[in-house]
Amino acid sequence: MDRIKQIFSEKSKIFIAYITAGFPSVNDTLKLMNILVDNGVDIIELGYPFSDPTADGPAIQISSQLALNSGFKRDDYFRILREFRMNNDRNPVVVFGYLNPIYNMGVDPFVTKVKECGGDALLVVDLPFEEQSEIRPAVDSCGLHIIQLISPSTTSDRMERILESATGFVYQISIRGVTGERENIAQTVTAHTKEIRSQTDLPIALGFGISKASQIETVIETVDGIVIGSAIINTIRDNIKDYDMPLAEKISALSKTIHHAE
Amino acid sequence: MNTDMTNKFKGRFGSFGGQYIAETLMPAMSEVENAFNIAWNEKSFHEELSFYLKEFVGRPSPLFYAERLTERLAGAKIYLKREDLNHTGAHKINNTMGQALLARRMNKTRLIAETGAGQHGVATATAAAIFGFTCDVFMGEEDMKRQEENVKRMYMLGAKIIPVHSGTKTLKDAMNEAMREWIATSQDTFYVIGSAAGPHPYPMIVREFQKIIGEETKQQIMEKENRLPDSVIACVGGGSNAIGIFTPFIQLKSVKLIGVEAAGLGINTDQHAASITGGKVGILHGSKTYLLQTEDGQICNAHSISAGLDYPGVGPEHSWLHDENRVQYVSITDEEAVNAFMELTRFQGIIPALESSHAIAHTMKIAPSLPNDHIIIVNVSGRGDKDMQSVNQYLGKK
Repeated sequence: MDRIKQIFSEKSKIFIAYITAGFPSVNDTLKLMNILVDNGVDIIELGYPFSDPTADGPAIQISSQLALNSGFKRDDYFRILREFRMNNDRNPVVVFGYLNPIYNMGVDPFVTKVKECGGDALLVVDLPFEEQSEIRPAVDSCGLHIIQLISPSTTSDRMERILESATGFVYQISIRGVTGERENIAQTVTAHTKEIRSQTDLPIALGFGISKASQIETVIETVDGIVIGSAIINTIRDNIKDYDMPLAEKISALSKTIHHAE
Repeated sequence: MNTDMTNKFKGRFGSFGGQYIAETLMPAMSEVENAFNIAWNEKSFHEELSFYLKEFVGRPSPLFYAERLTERLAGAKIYLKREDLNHTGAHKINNTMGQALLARRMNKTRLIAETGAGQHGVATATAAAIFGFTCDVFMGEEDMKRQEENVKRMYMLGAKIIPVHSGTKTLKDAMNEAMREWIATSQDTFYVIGSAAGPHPYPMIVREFQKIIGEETKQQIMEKENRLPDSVIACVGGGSNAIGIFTPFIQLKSVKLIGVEAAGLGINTDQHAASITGGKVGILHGSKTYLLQTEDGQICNAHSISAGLDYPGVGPEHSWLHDENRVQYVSITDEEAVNAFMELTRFQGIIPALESSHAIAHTMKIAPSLPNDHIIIVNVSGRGDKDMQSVNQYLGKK
């Protein structure tokens, strides 16, 4: 069963939430994933912490560093993924990270293990379309997806080539910049979504810089999903001693805004 | 083996190199690559660059016979390529002048750079000053402390220094931060990378701008000795000065090429920066290359007394030259480097950068057992004025 296809077919708007595995500690991650799905998150992007997250802003940098400081190891990632999947066969999990930890284990063993533990897709931030040939055979043979990113700077000829090979959903980056909360959302986002839409039948999720209801309301009509990451990390950090309730409330409010359109 | 040919294949050196970067940066990379390819084929660009290298940088730098050092070591005949005599005190300016001229052609208004020892930062700030760019330099907090003099120079030159507090607060983290900045600003900003590292086309661009070191060296040794050298030795952090002096000799198999990495407190400790000698292939800062990493694929903290070598990776072309057995990579400890620093200072009257001191240290190791007609050329990539504090502290501790 393709969980990604399934969930996009069930709902008109999808809430995708990012958290970093191992943050604030390895033992918290599974509980966090369940808080997310229990409060309206449809797809989880489970960040694989990396020492040098060059495309990420402060929130994800800090959560990654804290995860590594707390002793996160590769086996923890797969254990968390497997345990989540034991009690949840519905919500897709996207493995989100950088190439080195994958390459270090070996691309084939890594991808096979993701499949075995119940992951649905890979999103490798520093692996642009042109460099994906190394990972593609393993991903295809396991029936996983590589989530393709389209940025405001992506030229139209590259966009065409990227979308040709895209599966699962397309991740539209809303801004030129790294991840992290921003005040506003660019006026040009919707036009860009429409341009992407004209070249693919896949669902489009919008991410980077989105954290507020007002931003979501501006774009929700044209996109199929919204990705929120740094705002979730920041909510956990701001309530580090007891984040369960504040996080549930935050997720639930965001979910209402995103799913409201249904 | 032909480096030019491999470069045309998607920026690869064998299996090393590549463009492992965020999607948002991909167009910026093609823009730089196209601009470089056009400029590099134009006579006017080379004339312009040559003019500044001669009149502003002070090239050619001398190839100096180190008579006293040769006598003291009583073996091979030692020549020093004096990149320390360039304007701003290191080889870094060869590349920043080139990249700044490229940025000007691309109508960019701002330069950003990462810096470890501060030499690349100073060289970028200098190019920004002469060509009228605004300039932001990312520098680890730890490096700002140990290279305070260079921080002051950059301020004087009008650059803004952005302290980097993340990670180990050294070169690797400065490069992370510069890349993040460039993702957001590539429309008006040119990222001047100082090492022969990073995503394609940078390793190629930096090599092309630095190979003038080797071209001059080859001509100078022919004039002085009427023959090629037997060995060429250079220090390797990211590897820009080494690739610069090696490149014209790579096809000349009789010339032994030796790259010297920083062994810090020792290659068997976890306090070193010898990526080739003690690392494993992986992906960092846009290219596939040898890296210091944990069993789990997290990047390790490098250590070297020399801030310019304190980097857990190495330019991808070096990884390839290593695997092809064309260049021998060895390593030198902090202690050996400081001894060499003192040796060249006291007995040759040249205060070398701690980076270059690694190359001198290896020369001191091998020269005594070599015959008198064996010619070694060492690249003195920079001068050591910036290292007074580090050396004094090190000697004080002992």
